Amino acid sequence: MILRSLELKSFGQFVDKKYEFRRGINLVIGPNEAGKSTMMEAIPAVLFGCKDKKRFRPWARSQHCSASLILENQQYNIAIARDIDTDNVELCQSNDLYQEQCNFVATVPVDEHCVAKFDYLHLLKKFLGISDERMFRSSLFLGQGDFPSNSEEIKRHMRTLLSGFARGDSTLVLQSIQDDYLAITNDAPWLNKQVSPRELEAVQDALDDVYAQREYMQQMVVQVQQLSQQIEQLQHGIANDRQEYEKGVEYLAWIQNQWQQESSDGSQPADHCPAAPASAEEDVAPEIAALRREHNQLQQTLVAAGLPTEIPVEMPRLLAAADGIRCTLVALQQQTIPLRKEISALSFPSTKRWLIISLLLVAVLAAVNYLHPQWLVSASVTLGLVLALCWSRFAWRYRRQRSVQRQLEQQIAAIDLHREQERSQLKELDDDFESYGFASSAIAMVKMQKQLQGHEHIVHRLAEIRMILQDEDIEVPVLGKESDCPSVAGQSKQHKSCVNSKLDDIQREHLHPDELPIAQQNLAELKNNIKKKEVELLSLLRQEAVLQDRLTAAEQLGTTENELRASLDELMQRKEVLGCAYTLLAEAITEFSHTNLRAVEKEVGKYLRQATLGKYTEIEITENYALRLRRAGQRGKSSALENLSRGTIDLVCLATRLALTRFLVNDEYLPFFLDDALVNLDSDRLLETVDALERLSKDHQIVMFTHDERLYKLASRRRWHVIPLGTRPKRTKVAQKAEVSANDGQLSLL
Amino acid sequence: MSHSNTTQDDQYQSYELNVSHCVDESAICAEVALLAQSDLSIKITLVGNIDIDIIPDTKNITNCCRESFFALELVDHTSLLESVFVREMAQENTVRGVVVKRLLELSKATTNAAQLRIYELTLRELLARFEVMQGGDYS
Repeated sequence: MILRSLELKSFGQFVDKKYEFRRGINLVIGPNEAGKSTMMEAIPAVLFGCKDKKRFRPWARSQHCSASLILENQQYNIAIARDIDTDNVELCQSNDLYQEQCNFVATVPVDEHCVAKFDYLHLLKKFLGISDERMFRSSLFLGQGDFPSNSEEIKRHMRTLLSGFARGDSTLVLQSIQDDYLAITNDAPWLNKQVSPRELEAVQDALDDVYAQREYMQQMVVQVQQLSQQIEQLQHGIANDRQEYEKGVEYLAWIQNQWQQESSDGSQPADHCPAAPASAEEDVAPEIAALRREHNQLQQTLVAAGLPTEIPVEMPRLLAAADGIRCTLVALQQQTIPLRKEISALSFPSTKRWLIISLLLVAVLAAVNYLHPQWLVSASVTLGLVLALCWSRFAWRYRRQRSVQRQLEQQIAAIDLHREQERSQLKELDDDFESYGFASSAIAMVKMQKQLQGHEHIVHRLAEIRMILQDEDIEVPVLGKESDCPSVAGQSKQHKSCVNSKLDDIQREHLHPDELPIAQQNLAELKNNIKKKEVELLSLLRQEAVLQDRLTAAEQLGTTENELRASLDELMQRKEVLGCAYTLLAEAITEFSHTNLRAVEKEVGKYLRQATLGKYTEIEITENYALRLRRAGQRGKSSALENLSRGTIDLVCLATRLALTRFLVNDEYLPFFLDDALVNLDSDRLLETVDALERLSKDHQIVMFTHDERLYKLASRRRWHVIPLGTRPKRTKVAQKAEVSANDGQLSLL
Repeated sequence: MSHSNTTQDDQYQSYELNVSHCVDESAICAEVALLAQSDLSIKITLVGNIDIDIIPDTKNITNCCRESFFALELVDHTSLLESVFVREMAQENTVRGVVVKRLLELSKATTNAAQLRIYELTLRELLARFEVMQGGDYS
C-alpha cells in the first residue's frame, strides 16, 4: 500500500496544496519552517484526528482546516478526508477500476467514544491493518533521534511493539507487577527466595491481635454477665432478707404483745393478725379493685370499731343501759370513797395509856401501903375512884366511835349492795352483748357507742359497693374470711370458738415466749447476713464498673478491627488482582514467545536479508528479545547484535521495524515515514542505510522528510521522487555536474 | 439512561445506574446528578460495558456530585471485559492480545461474581500499567 496523494486545505501554512507520491522512495525536502513536519503530521491527523485543533489552524483565516489523502494498493484505493475542526470524516473505498465499494461519512470525535468512531476505526483496521494512532506512530514513523543507538533500544522497541502497546514494555510491566505484589505480601508462589513480611502480613498480624483482644473482651463480657447475674441474685436475696427481717421484727413485736396481753388479762390473744393476706385484687379491673379496697377498708373500720355489719335492734338500748350502769357504778364508787375515808379517819381511844395509868395508880397504892399502911384504905378508895373515872371515860369514848363506825359500815354495805346489783345487771348486759358476738369490755362498748353514729353511713356505703360488685358478678370479699381473723368473724356465736381456736393456733403454730430469744438471735444473725451480702454486693458492683470501663475502651477496638478488615479486604483483593495479572502476563509472554517469535524471526530475517543484500540471512530472537544474527553460509554460528557494527545495527533496526509492522498489520506493506531520521548519520552510515532503504522500498513506500542536502543529491542521482517545499536548496557544483552529466547522457540518447 | 433494581437497605437506598452509553466521566457525573436529592442517602452501583478511556473514577465522581446528596456512595461494577474494545484487542497478534484472550476465556468459564470481578480488575490493572509505561493519560 502506498500513499498516493495528500491534499491540505488551510492546514498550517498550506493554503490549498496537493502533493502526489509515488512508489519507492519519496523525498520531501525543504529548509526549516518549510512545513515538512506539518505535512508529515497531516497523515495521522487525517487518519486519527487531532486533539489540539488549534495546532494546524492557520492565522487570520476563517476556512475550516482540513486534509485528505489517498492510499492505494493493488486491490483498492482508499480516500480519507477529514475536517480537522469538526472531525467530519469521509472514507471512500473503491476498487482498482475506481468503482466505489464503501463510503463512510460521519463525525468521528477524537476524545469521545461513539458507534461512528468504532465503525471508522474498524474500517481502518480492515483496510490498513492498524487502528491505533500510537501504534501507527511507533511503528511507521521514524523521527529524528528515534534511530536506535544500540542493540538494547532495538530489543526494547521490539518488546513494546509485540506487547501491543506503543511504548509499554511487557517485561517492565511484569516487573512492576511483581514489585507491587511483593510490596503487599511475601506470599509469592513464583518467587523462590523468602522475603520479610509485607503490608498484608502486617495487617493480618494486627487483625489477629485484634481477634485475640476481641476474644479476651468476649470473656470479659461473659464475666460481666456473670457478675450482673450475681449482683441481681444478691440484690434479690438482700431484698428478700430485708423483707423477712422486717416481717420477723414485726412478728416478734406482735407475738410479744400477744403473749403480754394474754399474760396480763388472760383474754383472747389478738384482735388482728400481724400479716394480712394479700388480696387478689391485682387480677381485676382498677375500678373493681378500688371498690374492693374501699369495701375492705369500710369493713376494717367496722372491725376496728368492733361493730358488725348488721347491728341488732337491742344494741342501742343495751349500749345505753350499759352506759347508764357504768355511770351508776362510777357514782357509787365515788360515794364509797369518802365513807371509807371517814372509817379510816375514825380514832378509837388507846387502851395502853389507860392500862399504864392504872398500873401507876396500883404502884402508888402499893407504895402507900408500904410506906403508910394506915393510909391504905383511903388511898385505895381514892385511887379506885380515879381508876373508875378513867375507865368509864374510856368506855364512853370507845362506844361512841364504835357506833359511828357501824353506821359508816352500814352505809358502805348499802352502796356495795347497790353496786352488786348494778354489776349483776351489767353482767346480764355483757351476756347479751356476747350473745350477739360483741366484745363486752367497757372500752369496746364505749368505742362501739362512739362508732355507732358513723355506722349507718358505713353500712349504707357497704351495701352500695356490694350491690355494684354483685352486679359485676364479682364475689364480694368478706374480710376475715381468708385471714380467719377472730375480730371480724365474730358476728355469731362462732366467735368464741374462733377465738379459742386462734389461741390454740397461736399456742400451736406461733412461737412460745421461751422461743422468743432464739428468734431474736436469729433475727440478729439475719441482719448480719444482710450486711455481709451488702458488702459483697458493693465489691461486685466495683468489679462490674471496672469491667464496664474496659469494655467501653473495647469499643475503639471495634473501630480498629473494622479499619483493619477493610484494609485486609482491599489488600487481599489487590493481591489476587496482581497475582492474577502477573500469572496471566507471564504465561502470555511465554505463549507468545513460543507461538509467534519464530514467525517474527522469519519476517525480520527476510527484511534483514533484503537490507543487507544477503550478508545476514537469519536472525535469532531469544525469549528476552536479545537478537543474534547469522551470516550467510555459517550455519550454527551467530553473532550477538551488540557485537556488530553501528551500520549493521541501523539495518537491523529498519528490518525489525518494517517486519514487526507487517507482522502486526497482517501482512500489509504500509508506507514508512522518516522525518529527518538519518540526519545524524555520517556519510558512510547514511549511504549504507539509504541503500538498505532503497532495497526495502521495493515492498514498502518510503517517504523521507528532510532538509539534508546529501539526501537531495542522492535523490537526484538515484531518481527518487522529490517534493520540494519552500525555497529549493542551492545545488553544489558536484550536484550540478552530476545533473549535467546525467542530462548529457539523456540528450545524447535523444 | 437506564436505571434498575432500586432497593432499600438500612442506611442507603441502592441504585443501579447503567453507564454504557456515557462517553466520558463528565457524562457519568451528569447521570449521577440526575438522581440528586439533598435528603437522599444513596448507594449507586455503576454497571454496564465501558471503554478503557472512560473507566469511571468513583472518587472523582463522588467528589463532583457529593454536594447534591445527603450521602453518596459509588460502587464501580462496570465491565471492561465485555466491551468491544477488549474484544477487538483479543484478536491482536500481540502479548496483550494473548492476555485479553485468556482473560475472556477465564471469565466465560466462571460464574463466580467475585472471581469475575478479579478478572475485570486484572484487565484494568494490566491495561493501566501498559498505558502508564507508554506515558498514556490513563491512570
